[in-house]
Amino acid sequence: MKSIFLFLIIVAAIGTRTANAQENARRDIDFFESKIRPVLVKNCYECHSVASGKSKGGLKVDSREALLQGGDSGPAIVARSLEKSLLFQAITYDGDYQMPPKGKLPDDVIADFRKWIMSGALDPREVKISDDVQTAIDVEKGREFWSYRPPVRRDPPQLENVSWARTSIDQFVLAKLSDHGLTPVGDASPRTLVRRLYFTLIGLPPSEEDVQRWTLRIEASKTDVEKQRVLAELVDHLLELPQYGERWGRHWMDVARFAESTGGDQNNVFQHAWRYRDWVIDAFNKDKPYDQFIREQIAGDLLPISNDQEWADNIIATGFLAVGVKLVGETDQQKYFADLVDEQIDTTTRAFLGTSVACARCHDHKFDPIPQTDYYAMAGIFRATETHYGLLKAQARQATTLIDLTGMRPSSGSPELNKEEYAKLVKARDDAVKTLDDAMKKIRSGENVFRGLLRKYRSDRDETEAALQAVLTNGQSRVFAMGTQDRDHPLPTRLLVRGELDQPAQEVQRGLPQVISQPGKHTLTSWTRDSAVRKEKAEKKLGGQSYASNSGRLELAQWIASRSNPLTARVMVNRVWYWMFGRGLMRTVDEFGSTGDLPTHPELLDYLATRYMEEGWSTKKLIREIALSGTWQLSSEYNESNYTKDPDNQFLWRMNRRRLEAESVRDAMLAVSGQLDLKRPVGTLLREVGEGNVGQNVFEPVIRAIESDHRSVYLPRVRGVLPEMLELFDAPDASLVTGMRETTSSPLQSLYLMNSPFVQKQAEGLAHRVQQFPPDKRIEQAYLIALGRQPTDTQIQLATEFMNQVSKSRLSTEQKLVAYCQTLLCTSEFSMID
Amino acid sequence: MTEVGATFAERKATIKRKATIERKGTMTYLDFNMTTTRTLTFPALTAFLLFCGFSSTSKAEEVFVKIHQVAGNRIAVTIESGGGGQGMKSNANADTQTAPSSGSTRRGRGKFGGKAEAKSDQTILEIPADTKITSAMRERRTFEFRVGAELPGGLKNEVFQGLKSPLSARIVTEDGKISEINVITEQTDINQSNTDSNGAAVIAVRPKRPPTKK
Repeated sequence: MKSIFLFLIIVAAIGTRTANAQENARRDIDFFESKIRPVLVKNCYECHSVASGKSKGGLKVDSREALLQGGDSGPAIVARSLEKSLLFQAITYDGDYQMPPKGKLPDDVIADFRKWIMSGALDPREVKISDDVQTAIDVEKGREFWSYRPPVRRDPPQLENVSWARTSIDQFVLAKLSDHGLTPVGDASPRTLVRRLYFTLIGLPPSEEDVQRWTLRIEASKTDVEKQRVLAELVDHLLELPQYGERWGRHWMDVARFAESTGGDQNNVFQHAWRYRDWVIDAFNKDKPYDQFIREQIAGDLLPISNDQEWADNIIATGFLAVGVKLVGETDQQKYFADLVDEQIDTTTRAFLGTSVACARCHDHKFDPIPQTDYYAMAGIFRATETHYGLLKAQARQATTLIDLTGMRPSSGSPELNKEEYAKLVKARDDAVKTLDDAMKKIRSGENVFRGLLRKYRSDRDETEAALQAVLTNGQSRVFAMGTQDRDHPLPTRLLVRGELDQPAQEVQRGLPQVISQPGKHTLTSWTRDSAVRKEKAEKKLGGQSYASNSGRLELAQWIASRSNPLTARVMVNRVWYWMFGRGLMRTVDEFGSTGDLPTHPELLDYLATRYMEEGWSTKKLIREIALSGTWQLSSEYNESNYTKDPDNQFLWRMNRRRLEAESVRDAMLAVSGQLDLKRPVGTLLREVGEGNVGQNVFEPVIRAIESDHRSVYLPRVRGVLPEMLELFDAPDASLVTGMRETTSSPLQSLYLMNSPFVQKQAEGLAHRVQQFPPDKRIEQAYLIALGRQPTDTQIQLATEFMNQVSKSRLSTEQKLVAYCQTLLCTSEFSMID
Repeated sequence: MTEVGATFAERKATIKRKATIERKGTMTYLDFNMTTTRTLTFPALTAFLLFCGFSSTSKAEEVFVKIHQVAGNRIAVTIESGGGGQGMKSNANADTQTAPSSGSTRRGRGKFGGKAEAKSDQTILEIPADTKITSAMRERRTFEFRVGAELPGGLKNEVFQGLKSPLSARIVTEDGKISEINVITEQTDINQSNTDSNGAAVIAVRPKRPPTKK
C-alpha cells in the first residue's frame, strides 16, 4: 500500500514537471528552427554538410551528432560553454578560425547563437531509423542469367573432320571456328613453342641450351603423339620448378590487389605483407586445390588444424583480406570500418565470383540482380571480423595490432640480434621516450614546441618501441603476420540508406548474395542447415557438425568454394585461360554479371569448369590440359581470310601475340645477363626502409633506390611507388582487383630501355657472356641467348655494319658489343610471347 | 539474479527503494540500491517508464556517466559532474593518442577542472536491445569526445565483463529512449586495442586457436 502511495506521488510530481519540460523543449525547438538552423543552412552547409559532400576541417554542421563531434580541432558545440564551443569562437572571429569566411555574421545572429548555446544547444536534428528499404529487384528472374546457372558438363562436339583436334578443348574450338567459316593456322615452330612454354609457365626465357635440347627432341619426333609426349614432359618439368609458383603467384597477386602499403590518404608501409606473398607462391607450387586456396584466404584462421605450422600458414593466408587499400588517416572510426568492410566485400566477390556486390552499398545494383540487403548481409560477416594489419598509432589514426605467430614455426624474416644490437634498440627506445617526455614537460611549463616536431617525437617513440617489441630478449625476432580473427560477438548490421552511416534502416541478417544461392538458402542459418552443405562440410573436414564461426566467414568461404556455386570454377578457369592466351573465353575476366561480355565459347567454359572441379580443383592439371591442346600450340601467323572475318581472334584461329608483363620483361633481362638471383629473399626488401607513411617517415627515393637481382615478384610493392620499370610497363597499382593487365605503348618505355642504368647493366652482363665466344660467333650467341633463335642473314649483315660503323667512333670493342646487346634487349621480340 | 521462491512480503521487505528522483539537465535518474533491483521487476519497470517519461521531453540529449556494473540489459551508473567530463585526463598516457585506461582516469585540473567526484549513489538503467554501444575516447589535447567503433556483443562485450573499476561513458537519448552508449575503454582502435591496461604499446596479439582436425 505504501509503495503504491509513493508511486502515485511520483507520478503526480512527474506529471507537473513533464508539462513544464515539454513547454520548454517546444520553445527551444522553435528557437533552433527559426534562428539557428536557417543561419547554418545559409552560411555553413556549402562547406560542411553531407549534401554538399564537403566537411572542411573534418566538420559537418548538418546534424546534432556532427556538431557535437566537431572537426579536427574539437567539438563545434559544447552545451552551455561559449569558451569551449569552437563554432561560437569562429563566428565571433575570436578564435583561430573566422567563419563564415565571407564576412562576420550580424551581431543579433551571434547573440542568437550565444543564447542557444547557453540554454543547452538543443538540436532536434536526429539520426532517425529510416523505414525499411524495399527492393524492386526480381531475384528469381535474375537467376536465369547464364552465369548464375550452374555449369553443365558438356561433351565435346562431334565433328566430321577431327584430324586437327588433339584434345576436347580443340573440338570445342574447332566447332566454333567451323560455325564462323574460320580455319586454324598451322602449329607454332618447336623453338617458338619452347619459348612460349617457358615464358607462360615460369615467366623466364629458356637458356640457349634448353632451347636447343627441347627443340631437337620435338623436331626428332616422328609422330604427333610422340611430339605431344615430349611437350608434356616439358610442361611437367616446368610446372615442377619453383619459378612456376613465382610466375603464377604473381598473377594471383594482381587479383588479390597485393601491395605492401596502405595506399589511400597516407600510404603507410606494411612491413609484414610479404608473408602473404610467399604463401601464395608456395600454394601455387604445391598445387593447392583451388577450393582449399579460397577457404584459407577467406577463413584460414577458422579452419581446423593438425599442427602449429598449418595454423600459422592458414592465418597468413587471411592476409588476403588485410592487404587492401586503407584510408588510415580517417578520423571517423565507424566510417573507416565501413570502408574497410566495403573493400573486403568488393575484393572477395570480384576475385572469386567475378561479381561486383560492392556496387550495392548505396542502392540496389543497377545492372545485376543484387539488392542492397545482399550487400549488408555480407557486410555483417565482415563486420564480425577483426582485421589485423599493424601500423603504429603515432603514424596512422587507424592502426591495429598484428597477429603474433612466434613459436609456430614460420621463419621470422629478420636476422637475429646479438646483445649489443639488442642493447642499442633498448637505448634508442629510451632516448625516444625521454625526448618526448622533455618536449611534453616544456609544453606543460608553457613553452612552445613545434607541432610537427612533437609528431616526429611520438612517431620515433612508437617506432623504437615497436622495433624493440619485435625482438625477444634473447635477440630472436618475433614472428608477425597480417590477417584476420573472428570477433567474440557479431555486430548487428543495418542497411544504410544511400550508404550513409547516419541513415540506418532495417537490420539485415548475415548471409550470401541471393541470386547465386539456392532459393531460400541465402541466410547463413538457412544455408548451413542444408543437408548437402553439412555433408560437404564433413567431406572437406571443415570441423564437426556443431562447429561454426562467430562471424560466418568460414561458412562464406565454404559457400564460395562449393561445387554448387555457379561462378567460382568458371571465374578461375577463365582467369587461367586469360593467363595462358592473353584473352579470356569471357573477355571481362573480373565481371561475370550483365555488364560483362558474353563468353565466346560458353560450352568450353562450362566443360573446363566442371572438369576443373572433377580434377580436384588442380590448377596445374588445368594448365597442362590447355598447354597440350592444339589451340594453344597454334602459331601466331597472320591469315587474311580469317582476319577479315575475325580480326580480334575471338574464336582462336591463331595464338595471340602479346607483350610480356612488366615483371617478366625485367626478369628476362636479368636472366639473359646472367645476373638473376633465383633464390627467394628472406622477408621483405622494405625492411630497411622502416615503418611509417610515404613522404613523412619513409621517402620515395629511398624506396626506389632499393636494388635487387631477385625476381620481380619480390621487389617492394608500395602503392604509388612501384619500381620504375614495373610502373612503365603497366604493372597495376593494386588499388583494385586486376584480373586483366593493360598493355600500353609509350615513348617513356623506349626512353627507359635506352637510358636506364638497370637496362645498361643487363646489357653489359649479356655482352660479358657473349664475349666468352670467338668474335665471329658473338652476334649469333647474343641472338641465341636473348631471343632464343639464330639471327637471319640480314640481321648478321646489319649487325656487322652496325659494329663497323660504331668502330669509327671512339667506342671500344666491348662498348660496341654492349650497345648491340642493349639494342637486342630493346627489341619488341625480346619482350613478346609469340 | 532473481530470488527464487521469495514471497511478495519478503521481496517488499528487501526493497530499499530510495525513490529519490533527480533531475539533471533533462535526464532523469532513479536511485536504487543495486541489491534491490534484482528482486523486483516492478521497480525496474517503473524506473524505465519514468526515465522514458521524463526524457521524452528532451528530444535528444547526452549525459556523462560512470558505469559500475552491468547485468543483462541493465547497467548501474553514477552521473559525472563537471561539464560532462571535460577535463578528464589520463595520468598514464598523457602523451599518447590512446584512450586513458579507466583505472587511470581522474578528474581534470586547471581550466578543464572538474568538480567533485560523482556521487556514490547508483542509478539502474535498462538498456533497450537496439541501443548502439560503441567505444569512445577523449582526444589527447582538446579532450574532445570521439566516438569509436561499435562494440561487438553490446553489453556482452568483454569490456563490461567483470568490471574492476568504473567505465566512463556517454549516454545519448533520443525521444526519451537511450539510443547510444559510448564507452571510454582501452579499445580505441578500429578492431582491437593496441595498448594494454597499463598503457603500454601492444603491437601484436596471439591468435585464437581453431579446432584440431579429427
